[in-house]
Amino acid sequence: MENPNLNPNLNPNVVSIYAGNNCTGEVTLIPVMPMRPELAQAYIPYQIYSRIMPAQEALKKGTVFPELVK
Amino acid sequence: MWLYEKKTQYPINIKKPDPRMAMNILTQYGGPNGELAASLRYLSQRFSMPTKETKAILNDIGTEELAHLEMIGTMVHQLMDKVPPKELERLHVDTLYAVHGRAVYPSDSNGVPFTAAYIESMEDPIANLNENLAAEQKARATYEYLIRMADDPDVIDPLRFLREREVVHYQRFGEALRIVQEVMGSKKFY
Repeated sequence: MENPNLNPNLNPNVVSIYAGNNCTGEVTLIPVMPMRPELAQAYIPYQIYSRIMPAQEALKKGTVFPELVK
Repeated sequence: MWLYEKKTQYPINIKKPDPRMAMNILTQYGGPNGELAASLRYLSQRFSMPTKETKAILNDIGTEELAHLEMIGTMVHQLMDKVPPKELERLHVDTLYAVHGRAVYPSDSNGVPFTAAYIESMEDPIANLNENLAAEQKARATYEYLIRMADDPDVIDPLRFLREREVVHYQRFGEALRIVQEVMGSKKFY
């Protein structure tokens, strides 16, 4: 069984960098899950880049990201 | 504007016609959870997205849905191609033939024509993105129904591909929602 703390896509403490504004260079950090979730909002974990599959396999599966094959 | 590539996003080469399956798949062409509705929904909503990235996500997915529309149209055409009208009558798909012949027309499987009432486009990006998350799940469920009814690998493989794309789009709309939430929450962006 995979340890969820070692999988960046499942660890809520991992922070993904999102370059929000190219003009000011200001960068917004988006954690995998919100630090302070609010009621009445829907949240999807932010994907962290891990690895991609070879092109032929990706075409067959429908995605290059193994963690999104569902 | 768009650049056109003269190939489908996933290869489609159906050797065995199956008019019943064509009629079932037709709903993903012009039905409520179909690719035309998806494309027009995202390409219309993109103008009111608050950031460049979220505009780009809707633009890219709306564009890809057009490629899916082409895939579905190709499948319907190949499944109906050259089937004699008497055979269509025997298979009880003759009512569609009476109206459109063997053409590909944007309707659902019952022949109900496409309508923009299937989609919404609001100024509020949170409302739009929640609609899009729901739309991707409805399309995924529809593809699962279609896969259960299909028995030809030439039909099942492209349907599986399209189903997986719905899963990926759900993730991307979820990330777009996170961006909008973070940006609107911090207000630093503007």
